[in-house]
Amino acid sequence: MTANGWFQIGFFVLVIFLITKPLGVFLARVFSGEKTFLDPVLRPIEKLVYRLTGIEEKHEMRWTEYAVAMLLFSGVSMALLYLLERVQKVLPLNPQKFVNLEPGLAFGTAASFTTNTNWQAYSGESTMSYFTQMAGLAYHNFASAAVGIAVAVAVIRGIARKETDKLGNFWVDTTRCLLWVLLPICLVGSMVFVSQGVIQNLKPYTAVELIEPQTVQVTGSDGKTTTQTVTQQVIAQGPVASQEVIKEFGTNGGGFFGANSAHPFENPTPFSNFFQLVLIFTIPSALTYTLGRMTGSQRHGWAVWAAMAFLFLAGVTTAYWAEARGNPQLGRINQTRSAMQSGGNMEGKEVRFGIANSALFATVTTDASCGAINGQHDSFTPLGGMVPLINIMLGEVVFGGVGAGLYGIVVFVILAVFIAGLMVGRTPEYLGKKIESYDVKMAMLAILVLTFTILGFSALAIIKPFGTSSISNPGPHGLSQVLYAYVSSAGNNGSAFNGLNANTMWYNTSTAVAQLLGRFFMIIPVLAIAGSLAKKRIVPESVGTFPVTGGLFAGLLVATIVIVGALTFFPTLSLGPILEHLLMAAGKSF
Amino acid sequence: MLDAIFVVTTALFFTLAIFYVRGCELLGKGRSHERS
Repeated sequence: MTANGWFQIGFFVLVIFLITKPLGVFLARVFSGEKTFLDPVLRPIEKLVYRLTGIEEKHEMRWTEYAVAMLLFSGVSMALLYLLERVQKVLPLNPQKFVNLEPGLAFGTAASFTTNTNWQAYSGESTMSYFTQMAGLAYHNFASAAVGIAVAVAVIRGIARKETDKLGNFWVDTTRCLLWVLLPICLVGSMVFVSQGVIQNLKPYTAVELIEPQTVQVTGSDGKTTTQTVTQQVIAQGPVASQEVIKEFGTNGGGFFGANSAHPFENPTPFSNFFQLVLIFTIPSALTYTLGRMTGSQRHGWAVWAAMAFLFLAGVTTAYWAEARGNPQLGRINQTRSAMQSGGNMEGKEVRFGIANSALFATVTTDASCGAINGQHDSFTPLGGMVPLINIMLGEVVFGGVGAGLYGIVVFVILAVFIAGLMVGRTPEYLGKKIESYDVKMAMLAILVLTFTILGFSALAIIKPFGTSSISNPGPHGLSQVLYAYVSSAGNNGSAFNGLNANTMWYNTSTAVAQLLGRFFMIIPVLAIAGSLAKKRIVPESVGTFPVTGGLFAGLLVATIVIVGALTFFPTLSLGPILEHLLMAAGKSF
Repeated sequence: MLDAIFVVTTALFFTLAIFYVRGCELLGKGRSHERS
């Protein structure tokens, strides 16, 4: 670990802290229908959208109507993406003449992008036409992010409002999110990426002559090995910048290229890398301020932010330490940092980014439900690779996905005040609302759906040949690969331990189902909690009220998140990365 | 054939999710907060 590395991590945290309040205020104004500086331009467009689609702007929805609207929107969007992938061959903007996706991959990808997961069992540059990338995948990057933020806003309204059963209008919240938040910032952000060298074109791929022709061994379908001389390289092109910015800002994570943010056309410079990191945490961090502002308890918003920041720092410290200390099995080889080498475990990492920025990226992308990567998590040391795994297992509430992080941590807040209430023998309260059995039941449903999905599918995949046949490394590392696939899917993250061959019928369909369950069967009980809270009266604070502000609450919230995560997943972690770490220390690798 | 299976699966999933909404709503009927 170096002072330079720590400075970059510290500077990143500072920038996120500074963005939180101004964007949080802006979000609160947008979703409260207050005036903003963008209104003169966007308000007429918004009214036109409502007129064309028949949306009644003033109509407020109960939680059930809000949930059904969200489900119908997502279901229809998913079906359209599936159709688009299946007929891309006959659609325009396909200069490489890519064929239609096969049904299993099309279904898995449609579910993946609809649920904001962006799990990719394909490489974009060899599979997707420009039309599919833009009209299918990029559309979902915007739409799924807007859905997540809309649900979070509905949850905040549920906490803030009293004695009503209305949570707002799903269509209005989604439209305002797209027009006021996502599109303007992505327009500016894509220009920033272009300035750094991220490409944006619709050209056919470029074939260039190699300066040094390469000789390679090729094994044909008949099993015979021949020697070939490669003199040309095909360089993929495409509309990357416009997709890159929403990939991070919407915490989607699906790369235009298979190498994702390790590809120089997606992430060419140290500044573009830093900008991507900031984009990932921007909205999730700002929403904590929005929570405080809309509920009238700014200190509560900051307490939630502090709990998230603590867990983030714990994760990045562990990952950075584990990667910087290198691989003990390399023994006498000098792994210390010098002017000639980065030092530490550089396998699977970009030399351009080094240890600190790879560890930071891995932590940020899995704290949030982003899933973009600038290095291979599969090549991290066992403990370094366990950090991304744990981040997702904790429910991605450490800032989390856009909207999903906020409504996810509200579930843990409900549990934390419930536990505090049990400890002091009082009815638990949350910002003046009594937390009752229904709220806790819904909170548990939201948490248990992740547990059952992750552990259920993982257990099946590691005992059946259709699951084990995709594993590329034996032993505990193989378990980590399978576990990561379902943790990432159910948690709607989308990053992968890339050693697993996920493009099989089993993994395409099972991860798709895991993504759908992890997304929608969590949102439904969360909206039920919001509907329940909105109906309640505000109870005046008393001496027995457990404060949801300050260090004690933040500490209890952190403890609740860690204990629930540890109780659920420690056995599998002990058989995967922890065992692998101990065996590595004993001289055995996988 | 596979197309039909996946489209029907998608439709079934979202139908099931709408029933889940109804189930969660029914679970809350007659709960105690009105008394609090």
